[in-house]
Amino acid sequence: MRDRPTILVIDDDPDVVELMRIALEANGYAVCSASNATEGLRAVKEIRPDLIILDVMMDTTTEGFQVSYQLRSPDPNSPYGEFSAIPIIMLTGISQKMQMRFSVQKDGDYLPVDEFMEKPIRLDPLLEMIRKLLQRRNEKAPPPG
Amino acid sequence: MKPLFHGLIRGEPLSTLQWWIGLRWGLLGAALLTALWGSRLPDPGFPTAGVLGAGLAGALLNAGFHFRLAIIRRKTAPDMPEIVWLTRIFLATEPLLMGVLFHLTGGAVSPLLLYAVLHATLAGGPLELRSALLYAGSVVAGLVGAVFWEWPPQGPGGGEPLLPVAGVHPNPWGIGWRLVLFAAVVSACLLWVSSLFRHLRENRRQLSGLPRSLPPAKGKLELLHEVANITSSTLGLKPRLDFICGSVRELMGVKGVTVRLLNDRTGKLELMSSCGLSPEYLNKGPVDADKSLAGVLKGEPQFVADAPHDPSAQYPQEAAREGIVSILSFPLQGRRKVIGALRLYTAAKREFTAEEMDFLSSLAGQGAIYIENARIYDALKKQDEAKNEFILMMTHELKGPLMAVQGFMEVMQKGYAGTVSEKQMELLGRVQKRIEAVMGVSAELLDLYQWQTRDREAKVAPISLTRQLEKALDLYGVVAQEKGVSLKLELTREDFQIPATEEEVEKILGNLITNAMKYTPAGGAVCVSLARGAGRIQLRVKDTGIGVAAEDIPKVFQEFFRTRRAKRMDPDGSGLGLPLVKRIVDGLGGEITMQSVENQGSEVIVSFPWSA
Repeated sequence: MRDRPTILVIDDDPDVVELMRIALEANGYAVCSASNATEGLRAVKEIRPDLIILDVMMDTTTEGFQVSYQLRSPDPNSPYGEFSAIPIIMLTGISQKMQMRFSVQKDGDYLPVDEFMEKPIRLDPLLEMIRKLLQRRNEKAPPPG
Repeated sequence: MKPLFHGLIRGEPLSTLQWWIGLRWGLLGAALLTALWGSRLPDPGFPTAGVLGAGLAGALLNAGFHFRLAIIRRKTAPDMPEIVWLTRIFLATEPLLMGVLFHLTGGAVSPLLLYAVLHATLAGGPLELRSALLYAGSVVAGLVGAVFWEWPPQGPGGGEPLLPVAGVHPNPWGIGWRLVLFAAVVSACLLWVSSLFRHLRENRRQLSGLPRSLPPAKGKLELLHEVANITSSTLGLKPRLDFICGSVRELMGVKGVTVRLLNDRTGKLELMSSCGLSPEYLNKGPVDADKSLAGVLKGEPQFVADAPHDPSAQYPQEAAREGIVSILSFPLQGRRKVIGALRLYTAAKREFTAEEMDFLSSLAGQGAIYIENARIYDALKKQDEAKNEFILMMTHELKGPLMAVQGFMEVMQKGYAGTVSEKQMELLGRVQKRIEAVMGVSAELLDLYQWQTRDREAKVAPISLTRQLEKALDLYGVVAQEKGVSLKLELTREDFQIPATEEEVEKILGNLITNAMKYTPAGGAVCVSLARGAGRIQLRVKDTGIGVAAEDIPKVFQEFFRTRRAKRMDPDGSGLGLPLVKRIVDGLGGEITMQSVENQGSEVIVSFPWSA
């Protein structure tokens, strides 16, 4: 286990990435970022983050979904099988435009993520959500050693 | 049919002949009964065997007519010359038969005399005047002959003759002028009956024509009405034009109908709607306005009687293949120029009556105006949609940067980007507040325009307005308490339901209640009531707030409108709440109005159709 939990932010808006970086680093997390699905998946393999913050809409409206499907694929031969336990927070800004509202209870079956958070992001609830997810993960899989 | 029967009979030949055969059965029946009755008397005064024989012979003849007519009636296309001849023979046998009976029953003193006179007179009814006079003439001549030749001298049974017989009035001149007078009286009666019957027949013809002429007249009215509705249609132009084409085809009984509109850029007539014509014919190629419809473009109807052979037709071979014989085209005369053509295609040679031409001409004229209006309406609608699209896009584009700014503000306020002085913190707070206001407006704008462009399900289950209102009161009760405004709910025992979604009702109630509370100072009251009134469900939201000046009341449902006092009281309001409520209420088939007195308060009344 690293001394600081690493959070991967996948979002195509550099300003959002930047403000997340400042806020998260100030709260004791290491932050790395990716601006699209391909980069994001590569970063997951390379960095093995402890948590992923994923924007749903990037180059395409469903790019975020693709990332989460890949990571949580039920296929035993999936190249991302070992990463399926990484908690994912999905940032949604599309509920207004597409008249959708997501929730884990309702959409968890077909949208394999742990939490949804609607934009605009408020920092306190986000930090609280991150803290809870990491804690839950540590309880489930205690770090070796 | 008419030329053949001209000068013979007036009515429909088959049924008239049948009627006469029926009447003759009556006469023959009477003759036979008379004969049978006479045979039982000791001295009947006439030869009963002769009358019986004549009656039976007449019945045989009549049966012949009867069966001949029945055969003719069974044919799908009755043979007119045959009917004419049958009628003529029938009419010729009538005086013959009557003469025989007349002779046998006493000649000039026969009781049949009155019948003969009446018969001659009434012939003016069903017969054309010429035939009637001929017929009556032959009857009168027979009578006159019988009198002059004193036949029979005293009647077979003796007794007084009914007419002035020579033996009684020896002066032949006296007899002569009396007979002339008699013939004149019969003729006058005949003319009178003839005129009366003609009059009655004309009335009957008009009446019997009504049921036939009513449906087309109704169809024409409906069609004109439909044309008038083109503009108010939400279905668009095409389905309306299709309906009109179909109706014109049915009403006029033609093979096909098309509506083509002129494309100003290409000069071609583009097909907008059609019926009754094959796709091959319709897609034969572009229709050049200046070639096949030069006259129409000048505003004149154009009739091509023989399209396959007409030198002016652009597609004669295609017309021949389609089975088109003639084409009648009307200009669709718009306000400034001809915008297209209404065309009727017939499969056989056919004349159009002046009335039909008038109707089609006015239909095309009206249609053109309405099509123009519909096009203007469509263009405006497109512009409005483009405006909505633009607002939606702009709002979306604004949202991203604003959210980032908001995020950075928060990062700074929380000190994640270094220490912030107290003054800086205060300024950041103010910026944050303004950004929130802008975000609020953009969220409401999105709401408003998305509401307009969304696809609403046509059928929605009813929802309890009462229940939703109770829920809303629970929700806003806390806010009211914080603000020091009393929030009261007045309900009747009835449970009012309207076909709407929960979201629609939430938006209506939420906006109206928060609005009322927003513009009511602390210590005031907001009262929400739901009751039946004027046959509708009425939702009333009444407050004791700042109110709206009378001249501003009509504007409160316009987007972005805010009164000066409202702006002062709530600088960050968007002026989009009431417009959104109005759109939702309109969409639900309801009505919204406001009553208000400045400084005393406002009342918004939303009413929905009552459906038990």
